Amino acid sequence: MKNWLIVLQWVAAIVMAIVFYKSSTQKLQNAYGFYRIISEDYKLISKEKAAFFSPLLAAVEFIVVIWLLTPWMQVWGFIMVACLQVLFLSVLIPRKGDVMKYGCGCFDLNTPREITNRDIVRNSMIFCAAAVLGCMNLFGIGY
Amino acid sequence: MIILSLFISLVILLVLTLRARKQIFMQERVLANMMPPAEVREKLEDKFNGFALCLDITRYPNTRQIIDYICQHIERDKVLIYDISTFTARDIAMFQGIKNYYYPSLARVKNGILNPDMFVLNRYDSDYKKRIEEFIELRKD
Repeated sequence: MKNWLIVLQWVAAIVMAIVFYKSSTQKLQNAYGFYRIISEDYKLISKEKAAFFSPLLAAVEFIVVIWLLTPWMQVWGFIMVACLQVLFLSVLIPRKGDVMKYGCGCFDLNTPREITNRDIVRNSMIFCAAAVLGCMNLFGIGY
Repeated sequence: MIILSLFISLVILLVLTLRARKQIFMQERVLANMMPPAEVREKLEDKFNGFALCLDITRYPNTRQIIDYICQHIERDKVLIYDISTFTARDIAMFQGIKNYYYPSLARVKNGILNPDMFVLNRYDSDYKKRIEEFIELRKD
């Protein structure tokens, strides 16, 4: 049981690390595009605040990748993934059906894209997996 | 071990955030120096002759470097440099006869009219700088 869980946990961590690596590097490479998504498309915060928070968010995603792949930080990696997914879902759900000029801010930052159920389901699945694995590790359930 | 990991993470976080912030401010500065749609319209109505460099630095951030390169081959006052993200659909209609405006691109402007035979600035083409030079040379007055 224990070995099976460890394998499952590592598979999940690697998959999540790949997803977050792709997402964060795109946002860091086109920091300006992500900044405009946050400040103009989602209109979440003012431009001044977005100039600080959008790079910070992309950098946090990158840190999550390192944590997920570091055995002693993995549990915090899962918890951070779950927290980030809560943030993303709280932004995506109210805007379902809206067409974003520069994309939804998930991966492709340069194609106009509609926020669909698919985006919400995908983020929810990542949230569930990260929350379950994070809690199991944190409270020692099944180990 | 955890404290050390957190410290390293914090350093990486700071470096990445500051680098990305710098990129944002650089792009903002480049965008601020570009012509607004009203100025482009005015120039075209005044029968401008030269080139039009249309960029989209939000989607293609690396293309901002092309400005300096193009200005080495054409006098700055002979190039209209603008960013398509500042243009509305109504503004784009000022480019008479252009059905599909490709960008980022360089186009010849004669008497205020854009030549539809534009050069799409493809950063992935290894030979693109040479081809830009050829495009400019062939269409210069």
